[in-house]
Amino acid sequence: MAKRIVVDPITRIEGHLRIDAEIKEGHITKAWSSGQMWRGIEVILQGRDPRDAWLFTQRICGVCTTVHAIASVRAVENALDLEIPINAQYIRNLILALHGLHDHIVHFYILSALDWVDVVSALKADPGKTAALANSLSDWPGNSVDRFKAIKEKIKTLVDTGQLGPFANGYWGHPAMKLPPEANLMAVSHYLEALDYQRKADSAIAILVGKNPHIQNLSVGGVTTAINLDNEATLNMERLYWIKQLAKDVRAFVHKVYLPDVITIGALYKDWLEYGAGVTNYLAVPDMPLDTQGTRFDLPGGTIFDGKLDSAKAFKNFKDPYFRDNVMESIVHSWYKGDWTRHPFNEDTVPDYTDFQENGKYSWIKSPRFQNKPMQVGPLAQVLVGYALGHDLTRRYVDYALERISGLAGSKVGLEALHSTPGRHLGRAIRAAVLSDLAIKHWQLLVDNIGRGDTAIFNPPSFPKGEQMGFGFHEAPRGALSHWIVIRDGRISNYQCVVPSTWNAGPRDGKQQPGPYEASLVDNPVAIPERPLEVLRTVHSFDPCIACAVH
Amino acid sequence: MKYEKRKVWGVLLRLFHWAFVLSIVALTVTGIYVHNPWTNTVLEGTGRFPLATMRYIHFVAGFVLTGAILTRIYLLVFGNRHEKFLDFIPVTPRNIKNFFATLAYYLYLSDKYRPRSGHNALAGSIYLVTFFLALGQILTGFYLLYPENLTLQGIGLKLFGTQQQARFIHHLLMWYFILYAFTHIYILIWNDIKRPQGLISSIFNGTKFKPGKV
Amino acid sequence: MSRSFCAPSMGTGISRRGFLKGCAMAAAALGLSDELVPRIARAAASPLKPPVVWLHFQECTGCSEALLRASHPDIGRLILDIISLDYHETIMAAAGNQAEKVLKDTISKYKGKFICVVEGAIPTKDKSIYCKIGGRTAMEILDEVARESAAIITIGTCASFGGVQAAAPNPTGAVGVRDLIKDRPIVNIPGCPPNPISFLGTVLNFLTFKRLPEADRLGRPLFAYGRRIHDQCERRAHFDEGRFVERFGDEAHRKGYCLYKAGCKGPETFSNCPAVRFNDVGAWPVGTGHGCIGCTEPAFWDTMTPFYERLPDVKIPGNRGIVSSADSAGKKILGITAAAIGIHAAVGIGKRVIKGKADQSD
Ligand code: HEM
Ligand code: HEM
Ligand code: NFV
Ligand code: SF4
Ligand code: SF4
Ligand code: F3S
Ligand SMILES: [Mg+2]
Repeated sequence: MAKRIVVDPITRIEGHLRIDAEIKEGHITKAWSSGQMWRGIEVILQGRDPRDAWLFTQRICGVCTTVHAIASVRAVENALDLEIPINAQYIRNLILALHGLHDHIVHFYILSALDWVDVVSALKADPGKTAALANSLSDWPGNSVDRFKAIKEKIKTLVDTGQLGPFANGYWGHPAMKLPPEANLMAVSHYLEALDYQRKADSAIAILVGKNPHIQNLSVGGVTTAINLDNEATLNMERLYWIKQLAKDVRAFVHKVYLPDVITIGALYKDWLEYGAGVTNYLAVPDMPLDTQGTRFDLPGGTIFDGKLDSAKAFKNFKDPYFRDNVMESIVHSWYKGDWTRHPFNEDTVPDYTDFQENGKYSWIKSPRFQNKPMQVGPLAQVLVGYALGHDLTRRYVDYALERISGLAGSKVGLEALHSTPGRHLGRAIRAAVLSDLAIKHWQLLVDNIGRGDTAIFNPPSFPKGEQMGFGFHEAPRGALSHWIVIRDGRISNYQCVVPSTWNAGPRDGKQQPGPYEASLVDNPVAIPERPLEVLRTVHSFDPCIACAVH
Repeated sequence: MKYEKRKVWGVLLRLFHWAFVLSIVALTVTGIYVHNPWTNTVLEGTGRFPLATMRYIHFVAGFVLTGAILTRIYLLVFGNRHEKFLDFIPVTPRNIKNFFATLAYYLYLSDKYRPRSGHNALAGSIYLVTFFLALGQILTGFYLLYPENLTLQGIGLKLFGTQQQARFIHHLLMWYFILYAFTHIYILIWNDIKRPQGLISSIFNGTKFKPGKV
Repeated sequence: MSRSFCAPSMGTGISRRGFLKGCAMAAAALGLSDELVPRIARAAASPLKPPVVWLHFQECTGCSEALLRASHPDIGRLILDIISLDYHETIMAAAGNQAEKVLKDTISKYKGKFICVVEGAIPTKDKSIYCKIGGRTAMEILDEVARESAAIITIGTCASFGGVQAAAPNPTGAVGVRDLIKDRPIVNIPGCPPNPISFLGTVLNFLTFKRLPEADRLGRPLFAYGRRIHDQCERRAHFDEGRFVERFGDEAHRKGYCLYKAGCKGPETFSNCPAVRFNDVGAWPVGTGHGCIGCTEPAFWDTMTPFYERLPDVKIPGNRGIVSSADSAGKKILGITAAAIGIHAAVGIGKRVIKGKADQSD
């Protein structure tokens, strides 16, 4: 007999998500994903000054802070056909790369590691053996016997106080927890170190943007980070170098801790490589533009259908009609008035709450579709698209990671293993490695350009009478983000955000095609329905952000 | 024709008037500058402090205005017959009648009109509104001037909202005074042309003329 | 409302037997052996780290993220050594029913003794259905948790004053905690997000001196919100000297001049940003060349916008949808007045021409 479970709230994500699942014989047969909070930012933007939009939209999410800001200024610039200076492009790129690093590190360690790592089991670990394990994976200086001893002591003290704080009532001792105690202790140690390294990425960003989260240095037409090598109040060599140093520290952490940890956990949980594929249509947008108009990029983007890499088709530039003309959103199962599927320029957002109706409307999230198909977005999508399109950096890290996993797992793990729950984690770690290299590259591009005497950062926008339409995309940490704006007489007359987590967490569409969360949960094992750790594993692998998904 | 000479405005009221005029002109000019400082001193180390100076003048004028308004409030109660508020606000039947008669007269709807020695009820009402708005300007001004004073903060928050809202109100009220000044001076000239009452000079010497019985 | 009250003490108000049973259950849940039970019991009976329940409503988690970037204390130390962060959806291990149970247990175990931190606004329209957690609305949850708390700290402008979702037309009727909870001490730490230092300073003040810090009339601690940005800004000298950025990237901008004419709201915003700065790198918005947007102030999304203008838009009534700046509205009205005066004078002159004489009606 089928059993129905409701997991609400899903924790260790951003926002308010409810997952319903039907379980038969220890496996999920059907799932529903439901966003539980709506704020109406798209409605609030109506009638406002388009120059302000990025500050509003940035507040859609404070976890992927920066991303809605960047997509928004790009949308307005696209509508006005406004080029921005190359310095502004590099500064934005640097911000988005560093932010991606912060976000991926936080996601893996703080938000999802506890699905795979049993903190309490670490109490049984031998610090010496832990160091041996860790040193076999990388030469990270933090992996010392003394540190592991201290960490073990720290866990013990915490347990002794009886006040477990965030670790209270976790899934410790759950049968799906498979790591040896030493791997668990190593992971807990890295969990705490991750807290320091994510902060370094943010500090580097803050030098450029004034504060983080919620950066304050963009503007329609460029950035407001004044550049002057001969002034103490501006971006000068001292500050630039500080950024580089922090970026290098973070890069080291990604290469020596994050990527090896994901590889190890992937290998130790290799039975999970067959779960969680779900929707295998992938969508990623190109990013880190190399010119002022957005026609050449350092991160590739495009589409893949049915998991077939040879179907890959690229998005070429910021104006590409292949992207512009194929995005739609459906609200058939979402709490908005109507049952349409429309292009974002023609959408509206009128709330119409019905409570959870499993065959009717059941979520605040809309359902984006590309050529009427559900698409999985996120780092994995970007890595697969990049791999398929022959992106060097991506290929190098993918091949490296698969080779090491195969070595640790003792059997060949191929590219197809990426279509899975752990595959999404691996995709993210690979993307982090790519970003960590690109951050340094774009730092150099910026410095070289400043060295040539160019300090331009801003081209002022002007808003003509009449109507302009524009869209801006950005490959955010959780995937392809796009903002769509209609401007009339210098005021916003429509604004729609189609967000990565909307693509992934959306409900069924008019054709009853489930969204990626819903599809990926099907066939997942659930050992104890009352403690549905496995549901968390697959849902967390997407790095859900529900404030993004519903805005 | 014979004219009766009447003493209408005391010294204090005339002093008030000119303090009021001068401070408001100064406040408006410096206020507009503070709102949108048009100089741009790109030279460093010159020590001219244009904005600081304008603000300083604004605040001094603000205190003058405050003194003037307090004086006028005193006169509203303790001034001479014409200076007291009951003389010119449309609450008595006589003043209500005068209010509408003046309005009709100003709109060229009627020529029947008896001028007053003091303010007519229409003018009087506008003056009272003006005093009240000046008080608003003073309160918002002091709220902006002493942001760290928690008593003022409490009052300011209740009456106007945040600093930004107070500043907005302060700014909009400025426009009232500009509009007021224009219409005030126009109506004075218009009246002075229409009637040989010595209206304008009254605010200098305190006396008006009334056509006497022949 | 008293601003000082006792910090959490160790009394739990349950019997010793019930208590030991609870410890045994905790040990079992942790997969620990029975011999640990007395240890846990001893620990739980000794002075506690103050329990904290952190609620998320209509928010973006930017405030939690800000805390992740704090350095003194850093987040690891904060949650492992200083407080017991018993409920916080973004970082807690438990989910679903397991998480709900943690919340219930914390509230009942530490009735009147835990600190409640709220992040996010509360929708009040349509019975609060715009934000639900575990099947209950934000209003229900806030009411239940706040009622049992020792004090409430709102983190961020959303929880303090309604924040971005409360911007016009406020589609969900979003409000801040102080609009709903009247009988608990509330400290507001607004900002979008606030500097984590302001939040941590408040917590540490409370833990050290057992009372809440002195606050302004909006419930904001004076140590962080006692002064306006403008009065502490390093660019103030340029303001006084009339040296302004006219356009981003211009000569003045590259010299670090004042951003007043680029819309900086420092003169209307209370916050310590220029004094304490962000992210351990001495950064703050004005410092990198963008004006302050007034993020610690109530309703700043409506009153500080357009962000690149000095004053908010004026909606000219009757002209639906047409928005104008205060000055162009003023100038328009002035123009209308001038026209009216002109017409009035013209009519007077016309009448005089017709009648040939000034009226002498009495
Ligand atoms: C009719 C009388 C007044 C007028 C027309 C006037 C006008 C103005 C204007 C236009 C501004 C600039 C606001 C903006 O748009 O940014 C201003 C600012 C200000 N006014 Fe007045 N004002 C008047 C009276 C006062 C008074 C009585 C005070 C109290 C002392 C005062 C104190 C201030 C202060 C403190 C500011 C802010 C200046 C700054 O922060 O730099 N004002 N005023
Ligand atoms: C230089 C031009 C001005 C002249 C010749 C002038 C003259 C006068 C006269 C004659 C009166 C008395 C009117 C009556 O009996 O009803 C008066 C009253 C008044 N005027 Fe003016 N005025 C001038 C400018 C202004 C300005 C610029 C303002 C303010 C912005 C102003 C504010 C007032 C007020 C408030 C009263 C009412 C006096 C009271 O009852 O206390 N005046 N003015
Ligand atoms: N989904 C999403 Fe975001 C991201 N990355 C937005 O665009 O998380 Ni808050
Ligand atoms: S105050 Fe700002 S940062 Fe904090 S939750 Fe609200 S929108 Fe996000
Ligand atoms: S930059 Fe802003 S806060 Fe600083 S002095 Fe200028 S107006 Fe004031
Ligand atoms: S925007 Fe906010 S962060 Fe500070 S500088 Fe202004 S208060
Ligand atoms: Mg949307």
